[in-house]
Amino acid sequence: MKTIFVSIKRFDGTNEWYQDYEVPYEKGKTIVWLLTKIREEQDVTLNFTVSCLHAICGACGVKINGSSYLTCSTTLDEVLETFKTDKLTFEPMANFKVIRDLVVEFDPKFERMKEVSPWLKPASHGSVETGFKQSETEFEKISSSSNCILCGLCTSECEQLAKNDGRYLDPFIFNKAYRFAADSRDADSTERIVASLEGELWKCVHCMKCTSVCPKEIDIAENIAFLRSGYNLK
Amino acid sequence: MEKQKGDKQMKYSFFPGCVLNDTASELMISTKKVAEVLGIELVEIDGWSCCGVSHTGDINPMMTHTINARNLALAEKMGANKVLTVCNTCTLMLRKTELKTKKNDKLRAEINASLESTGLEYKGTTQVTHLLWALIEDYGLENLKEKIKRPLNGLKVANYYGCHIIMPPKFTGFENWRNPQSMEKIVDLLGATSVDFEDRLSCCGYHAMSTSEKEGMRMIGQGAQTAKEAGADVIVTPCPLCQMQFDDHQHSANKQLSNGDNLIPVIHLPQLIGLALGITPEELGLKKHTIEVIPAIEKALK
Amino acid sequence: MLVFDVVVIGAGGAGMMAALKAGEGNDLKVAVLSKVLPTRSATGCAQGGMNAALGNRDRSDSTEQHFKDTVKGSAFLADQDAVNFFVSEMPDLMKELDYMGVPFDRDENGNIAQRPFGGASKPRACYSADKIGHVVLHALYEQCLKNDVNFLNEWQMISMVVEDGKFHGLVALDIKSGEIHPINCKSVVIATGGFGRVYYSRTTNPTGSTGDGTAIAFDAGIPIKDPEFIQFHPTGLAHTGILLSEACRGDGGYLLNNKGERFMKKYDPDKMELSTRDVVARSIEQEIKDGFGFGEGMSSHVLMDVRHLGKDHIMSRLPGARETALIFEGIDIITDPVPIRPACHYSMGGIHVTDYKTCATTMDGVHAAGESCSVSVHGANRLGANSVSEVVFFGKYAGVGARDTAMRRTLGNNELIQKETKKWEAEFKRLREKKDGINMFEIRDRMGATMWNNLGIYRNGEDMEAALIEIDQLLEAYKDAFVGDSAKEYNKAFINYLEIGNSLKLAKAISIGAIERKESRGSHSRADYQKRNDQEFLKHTLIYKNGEDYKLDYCPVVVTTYQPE
Repeated sequence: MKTIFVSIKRFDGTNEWYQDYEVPYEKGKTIVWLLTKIREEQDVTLNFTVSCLHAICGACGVKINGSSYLTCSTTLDEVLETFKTDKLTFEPMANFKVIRDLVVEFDPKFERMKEVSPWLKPASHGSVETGFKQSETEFEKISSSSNCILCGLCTSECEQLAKNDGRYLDPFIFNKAYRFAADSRDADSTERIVASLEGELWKCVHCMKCTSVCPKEIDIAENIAFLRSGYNLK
Repeated sequence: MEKQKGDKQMKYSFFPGCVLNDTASELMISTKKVAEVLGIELVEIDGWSCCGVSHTGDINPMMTHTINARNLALAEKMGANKVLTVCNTCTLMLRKTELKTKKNDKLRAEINASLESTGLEYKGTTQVTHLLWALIEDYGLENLKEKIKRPLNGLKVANYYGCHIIMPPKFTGFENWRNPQSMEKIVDLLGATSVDFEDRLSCCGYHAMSTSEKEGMRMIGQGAQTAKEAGADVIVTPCPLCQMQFDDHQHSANKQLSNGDNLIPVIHLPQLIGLALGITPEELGLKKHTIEVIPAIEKALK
Repeated sequence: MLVFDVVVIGAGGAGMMAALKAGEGNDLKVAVLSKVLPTRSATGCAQGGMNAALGNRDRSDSTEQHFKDTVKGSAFLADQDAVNFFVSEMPDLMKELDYMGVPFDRDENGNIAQRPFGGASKPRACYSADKIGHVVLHALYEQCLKNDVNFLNEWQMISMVVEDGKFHGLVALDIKSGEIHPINCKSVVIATGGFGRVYYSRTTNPTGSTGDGTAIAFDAGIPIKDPEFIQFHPTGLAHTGILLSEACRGDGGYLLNNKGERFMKKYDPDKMELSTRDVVARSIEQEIKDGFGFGEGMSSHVLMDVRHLGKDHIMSRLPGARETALIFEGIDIITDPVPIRPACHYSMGGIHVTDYKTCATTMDGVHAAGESCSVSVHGANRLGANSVSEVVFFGKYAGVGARDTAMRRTLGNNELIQKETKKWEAEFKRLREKKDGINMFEIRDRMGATMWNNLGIYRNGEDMEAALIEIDQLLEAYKDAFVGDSAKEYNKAFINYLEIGNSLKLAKAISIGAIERKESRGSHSRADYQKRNDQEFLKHTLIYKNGEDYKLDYCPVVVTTYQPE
């Protein structure tokens, strides 16, 4: 394969269109390499966000051929192989407001995240002076859900969000609610669970897309089920 | 992954799942008929119970594992090495227990402690599969091809996978969840044509119909619409829950979304295969559907 | 006009801690400006751990030993009063972080788990799997949400408004709208992080690590301290600079040259691959220089081979490293060696902080914390796992310091701030309308190559002088740099333009400092002055900028209890 045919959905604040580019294929490259090459060599007006380049900061989510990926840690080969094609279509992540091209708006989501009190409410057995005691088993309960990098891929894939009128909370917000509800150092989860319920916790359709797409392998759907059942929680 | 010509797995422990008994009896009928023609022996697990349908996981995850471990332990008792299902969610529920206990002796011990009073012990020796996977990796597509009597040339199908046969990949693991092709391979083999439609991998909303009916209707309405717009004569799915959604609610969904009166019929994967094997539509239970199937298929196959 | 009491620039570990402390228990109006969403900050990249002499893993650890290790590791360039302050209070801060909800790994006693780390005499790196930066960053963000911290996300600070050495306010761009805003405030904390991207293609740092705050403070007349001290991590992936876990070496990996030899035997036959970071980095570069590397120029590299460790070990102990090599080099370390080369990792130098208890600088009202400044705690070389600790520690004291300053100072002069704002509005417009010019990415790439080749791991006077000439040429070329995007809203190309300008100024400061420091110390290694020279150079470099004039000066190192040895 010699050439990759790239089509990127553009947006300048007013107009929306698909713009085509061609890039000569190179082995061992990532998607961010492809986008950067287009931007720096062909079209500097193309916008997308990246930061750490190694899947810890969560800045680089996009949709490629309808499926959501982190551009920095997805290889070109992997995507070409998955879709058995030499044509890649890029769109911004779904279920977000688009700012420009592939750049989406996170702040409103973080505002909503506040509804579930995504911070530790310190229980009385700890203090600023002493910190807390926590067992290794108790740490295990929160270690996976704490891995969330707020990349938004789960939001992008969420089937409920795609059809919902706007009350439903993003999967990563439910994950945060669970992460604190399950923390032995946390005082009381009632508020968080109530907030999750008010955020339509029971509308999750269990499609498993969030769990499947999560680059940190957090079983978000399971954490949602745990929030519903109260398993592991106080 | 793919089986070659010759050696075929012939016997499975069969887990029908609840809906096959009643609401989706046509799937029970067609599965058994297809198995008979292909020479596959399905031995129903004696004493099986509901898999929990996702919902029990929202109430009590440990109990969910226990009931599925019980189902698998019953299969082990029969000497089965593979358990076959024809429902996506049953597959996922059983696979989850199978794979989670494989990596976690503590979990299996906890489950077996609960099972003690039943006299059963779950050893973790059976593998869970679905007919869709079994045909490809056990039976072999080349072998299936030989059995085709009525190639379905002219029939355009919209392959509606249904979430739980492809996700999450750490439990399903059969193929790439972002672009599965197993149904396309089979449809192609049967002589029919797969259409490319936007909702091929979308969710039907079955598991939240009681709490999220409005959104569920939108899922069904859109799924049917994009299938129709892509030129499909029929939707085919490996999951009876998806099938129920499209069959029972398409009319209401169309009304809600103002999508017109045109209803696209939806059939089970074994029914599609059965037609190609030369089994009659009546024998495949195709008259039991809410949305009429036979006229649309006969018309396409002319 | 936006008016605040305290403005924090940068929302990483230092910035968010500063914001929390500045606003705690008072009515001050505090705002945080960040060019990226807070959780995208570089703090999140830190992996191994954060040092504090808690004594959880080893009761015999003490703040004195942490002190000694840090000072020794700094090649005695660290200011010992600041180090003492840092190590003494760090254990308390760990309790506070625990109380904030940072999820730490735990030991069998339920205490924060600690692991051994490079240069530490006792195991004191508190960890959370291999993601300490990530968990600390997110916990701080959560606390900021809890306390309703006012974030101005995707805002780029462009300029500090200063007249006659007096700080008045700031000018910042709201990237989304393209509006340039005047900001009046009483104090500011600059916490914009390090500047690894000066070495553009050979760095482990995120794309935005261009030292914007450091450069702007520099422009405003605040000196940069010890810029020449750049830490190079030995194992960056060859093609991208992405960090390959130090655990590969720790677990027994081999470094191989193009003859298949374990070349470390030539440089440190005792420790071999387990020698210290700076020695390993230098050894790799020497091999490449001597023609025993693979590839050419910027693609030169050596190999890291862990095949002999076996599949099981790699899958259980090095899964992250395997994943990294697979994704970013297309290599499976189970079956093949992976190309690696040192990469710029950390900037010891930065904005000159004059008071370690308040993080004040030479300009009243301006505080600085984190990697963007130099206190100095790390001196000529930073110990692994001291960075995350240091940024949250001094972030806290910068926040408290800025709060106190705000209570004492008055607001700046509105007219001056408006004037500077108008100037930048015009400049932004000019650059948007400019139709051609010199490709700014080419300027950036040339800067990166020059810095890597001439101000890298091995330095000598001649090459550094050549680099300075080149940097001056690039600064000249920059005047005609072409942005190429005429959009007002979300013009990332304009941000890149500013970043490149900032990087060039820092590159020049690094060059001058390195040329004038005629010794080898810590990470600054010169072929023409191979020994450490305490007689003449036990002092901090200070570089001042006045327009296009760069001036060099020095200031003393504070030595208290640990005499240089």
